[in-house]
Amino acid sequence: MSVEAQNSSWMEHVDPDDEELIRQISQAQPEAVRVLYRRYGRMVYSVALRAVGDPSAAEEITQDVFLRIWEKAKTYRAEKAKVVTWIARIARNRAIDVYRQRRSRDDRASAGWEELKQAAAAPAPHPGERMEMARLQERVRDAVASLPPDQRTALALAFFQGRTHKEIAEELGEPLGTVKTRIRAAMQKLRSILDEAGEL
Amino acid sequence: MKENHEELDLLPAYALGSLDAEDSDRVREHIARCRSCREELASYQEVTGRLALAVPEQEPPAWLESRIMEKVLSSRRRRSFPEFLGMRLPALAAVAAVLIIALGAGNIYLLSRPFQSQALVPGLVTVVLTGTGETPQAYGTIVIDRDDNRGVLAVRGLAPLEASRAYQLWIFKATERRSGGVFNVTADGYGSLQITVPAGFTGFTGFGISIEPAGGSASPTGARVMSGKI
Repeated sequence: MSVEAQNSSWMEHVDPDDEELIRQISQAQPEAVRVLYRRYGRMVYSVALRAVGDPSAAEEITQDVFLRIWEKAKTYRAEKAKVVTWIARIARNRAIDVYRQRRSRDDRASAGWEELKQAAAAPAPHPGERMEMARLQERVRDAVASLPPDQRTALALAFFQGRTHKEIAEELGEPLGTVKTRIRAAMQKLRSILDEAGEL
Repeated sequence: MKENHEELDLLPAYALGSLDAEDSDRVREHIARCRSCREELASYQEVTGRLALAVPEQEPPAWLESRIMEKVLSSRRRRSFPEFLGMRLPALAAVAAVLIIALGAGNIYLLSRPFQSQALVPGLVTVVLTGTGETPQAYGTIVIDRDDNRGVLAVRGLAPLEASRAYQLWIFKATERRSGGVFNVTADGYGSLQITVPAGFTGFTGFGISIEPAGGSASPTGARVMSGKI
């Protein structure tokens, strides 16, 4: 290899992929948490904020999620889920726990997929790093936006607040069977769209 | 072609966690023995995970990143040693290997610099050991994690001992001396030791090595051959 090529390879910066970051975290390398936070911190915070409706609670949830990633990275299994799915699951579970603890005294949570298109246009702070993420987000937002409104509403109550079929039926004043059908149809359609787009 | 089980229709809601307890139990039991439904479920779980990406993004406060990193670093220091060892043994082993190689190069000053700056493995402290008047050719380094009181020692230049004797590391605090372990050296004078500071022995300020009976002594009895201060 020429000196120029060696210099070039030293200067070239390639971000570790998600699985590599999780591997580094499992080996107690704290800086990998920082990189992962910069990649997924906004997603985690946004899910938490949408679920609980309170910025300070969303901040707490976000801290809990990344601390949990730090502590549990060794339990991640790539064959079971992609890293983004694993993180999203941790974030959602924690957010739903907090939502359930707070819902009797706080009604600021807003379960919905509103502003999907506006959000897609939100400025990205690190355009280079976030291009791939932004593309994936747009695909998923388009897929959710393509669902009929009644399916979107039922899906949002299940996703953000962890509500069961029965609770959703009571909330919406709809028959239980109708809610079950809407959620099943929504998930099947999303899977089909994302699968065809090569995102699963 | 996928088998058509009744539970198939429940998998999307199971992945979302919106089934009632009875249906959840039914799905859980089914997927435990049905591979095709497990694969089907995995695809819906991926969909559920992806839904997080559809959430309109909000910018978290700028201070949140540093708060998270503070907590991560603080958590790391609190970790129990068995877990610490499980994760950091490769790092400590690498440090020991580097120490031994560098000792071979004979440049203790350069060797100690990166560790004193804590650049290689944050949180570890480096102590340089030098030979006494009886063993001026001996030198070594200890890398120790003061939060967990564990570390490694690598030395060079000590004479091999007969089987009835051994080198013993002593940990100093004022007039107290506690054993850090017993070791021997190879025919060409290299030795290493994994150090365990006795529980509760905090605030130690230095290390020494003496020649003791094989198995070690309760307190130093033999000649001191190396020492170093933190």
